[in-house]
Amino acid sequence: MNKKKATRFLAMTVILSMLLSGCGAGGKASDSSEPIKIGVLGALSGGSAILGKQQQQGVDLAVKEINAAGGILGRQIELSYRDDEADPTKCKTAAEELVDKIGVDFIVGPTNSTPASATIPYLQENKIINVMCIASSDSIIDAQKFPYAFRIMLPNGLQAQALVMNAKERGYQKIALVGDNSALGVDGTAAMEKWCNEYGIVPIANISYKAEDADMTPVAQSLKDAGADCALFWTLGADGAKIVKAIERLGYTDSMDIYGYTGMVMPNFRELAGPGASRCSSLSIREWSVEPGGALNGRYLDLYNKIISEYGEYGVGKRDTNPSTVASGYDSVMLLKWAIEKAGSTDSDAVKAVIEKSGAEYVPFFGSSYKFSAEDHDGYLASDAVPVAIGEMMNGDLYIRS
Amino acid sequence: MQRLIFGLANGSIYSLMALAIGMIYSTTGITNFAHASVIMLGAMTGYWCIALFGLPYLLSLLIAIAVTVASNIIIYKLCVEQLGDLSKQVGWIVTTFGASIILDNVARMVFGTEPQSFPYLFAGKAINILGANIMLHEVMMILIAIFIGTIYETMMQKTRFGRAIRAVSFRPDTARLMGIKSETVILSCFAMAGAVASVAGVLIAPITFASYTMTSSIGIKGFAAALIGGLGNSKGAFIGGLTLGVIEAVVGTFVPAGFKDAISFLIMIIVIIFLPGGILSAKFFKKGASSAEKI
Repeated sequence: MNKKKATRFLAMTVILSMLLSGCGAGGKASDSSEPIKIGVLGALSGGSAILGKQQQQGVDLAVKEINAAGGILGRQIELSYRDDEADPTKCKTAAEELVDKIGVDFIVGPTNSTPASATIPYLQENKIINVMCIASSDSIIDAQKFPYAFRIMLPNGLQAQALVMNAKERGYQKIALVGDNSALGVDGTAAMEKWCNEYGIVPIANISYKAEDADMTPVAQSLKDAGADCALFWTLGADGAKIVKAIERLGYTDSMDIYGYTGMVMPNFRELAGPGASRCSSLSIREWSVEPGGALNGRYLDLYNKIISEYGEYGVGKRDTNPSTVASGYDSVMLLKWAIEKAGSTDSDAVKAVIEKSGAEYVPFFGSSYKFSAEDHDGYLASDAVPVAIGEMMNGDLYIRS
Repeated sequence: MQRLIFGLANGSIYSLMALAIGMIYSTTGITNFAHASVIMLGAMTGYWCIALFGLPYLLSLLIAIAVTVASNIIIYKLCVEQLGDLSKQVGWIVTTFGASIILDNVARMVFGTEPQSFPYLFAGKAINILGANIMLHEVMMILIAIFIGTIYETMMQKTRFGRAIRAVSFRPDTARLMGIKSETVILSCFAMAGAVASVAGVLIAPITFASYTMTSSIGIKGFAAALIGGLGNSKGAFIGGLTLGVIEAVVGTFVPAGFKDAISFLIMIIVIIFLPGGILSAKFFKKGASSAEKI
């Protein structure tokens, strides 16, 4: 009889334990003394390390401010950084660690599109909202496939449209497309080709090169041989600068203008590219560029001053980060803060609903306003991007509109 | 013409890399996998001296050389000498790779992540040769590599120290018995390799830009050049380096970017399969030379 009772008691205990653990499934701990855990994924080493550093500076600055002011809903933010080295496998592994071991509530990043592609499906399965502020591939944002992924950076498709539209409006006759042979470069070039078709433009050349190659002379030679008067670059800054230098060596600088997507933008592009940088333009978020002779204003200027105060002036041996990209990292956290406070909880579905339905009410520190909806998790329109001259910078790190 | 000069210039850097790799291989039988990182360290040190402290180019180069000589000595002391008899184990693969990773990460923390512009020799001035715009810097790359190679070969053939290196390379135990301090010779080779690394670094940095990842794409080509020419063979280092540089320049003109490196390394594999000792191991080049002459 005792044995029967013991067995019954044990069975009840097991059943009760299972029921109690099941109560926690599908939701986040709402204990108000627990910190809100934010994971940050990005390249902190390797060729894309500058991107991760910029994101990190922005996130750190925002979290420092928020925690000093009492946190979100009375809860401090706890950050966990993971360096994915811009590698998809490492990014996925890091994301798994952040979600399964650390138990993060939200994620900022990744910084690069290829690791993001590998990681976002896993984050969706676990209902983790991630806000991307740098990765720009079109395929990583899809409100239906990836309902918990949001972005506050100009996506590739919009940038490609803006670049082609700008080239057409300026009347160039021989437009060449240049991109590296990575997934990023291939996607970007394909997007530009698509918009060339839309606008009735036949590219005079479509040139591919190996990323981080030391010798960009073949690229420059191909542009010169094609007689291009305009080249649309889908290149990262260092590679773009090498190509511009190679073009200068061939004596073709004055015959062609270059427009590149935001990945080409880096504060010391002019030093790297040399005099040819004066013929280069890129795209920037309107609010983080200035008119010639103008200045930032309002909350953007305030944030810029905070960045300088926290990380120093821009220069050799000093801060080497782009303030607009730092601002995008900052805004990722501030957007989450606003959405969590409006939702009154860290529940992913509640926060998601707030961003989708009321995102336009949020006052950003990066753009002017975000146009999120249930159908669109990209915050921007093509008109939010303006061409900026890479060759000239105000204070060495602010883009001047061209 | 322009592509040929660029190929020769790049090939000169591969030659210097192969020479330094060969210096260490010939006396120890190991390949220093940290060599590319040491080149980067030399370039970054030179950049800091020039850009931050405003030092003259030559003084900056001398400081960079001092730093890379010291780092190579440290690598030898910590990663190689501690392992004992290198012929009996392969721990040096892990230790030198580890040293490379440590150097890269330290450089990232100290120097930052962003590529920096490194000044060309002669302020980037170019001259016109047969219609091609040739930079004086590229011409100097070729000349400096030839100069270093000539000095090294002269030292090896004409000086007592050179004979000591050859003796240690050929028969280390016998050399020791004959009173040659093998450890001193090996340490000197590591130091010389470090010095050559700095020269290679400051010459290639204007082209690749100075950053802690600057040798990620060219680093392995130094090893390829050493293998093509014959590992441990100083003449082979130059043959291998220049051959690789010219092949790259020619291939890059005709094939899509993604295939350029593939074709270069395919050629390397073919050479290794048919001439495992490198190009200079071919019968045509041997002509009665003894094994001791290989370096």
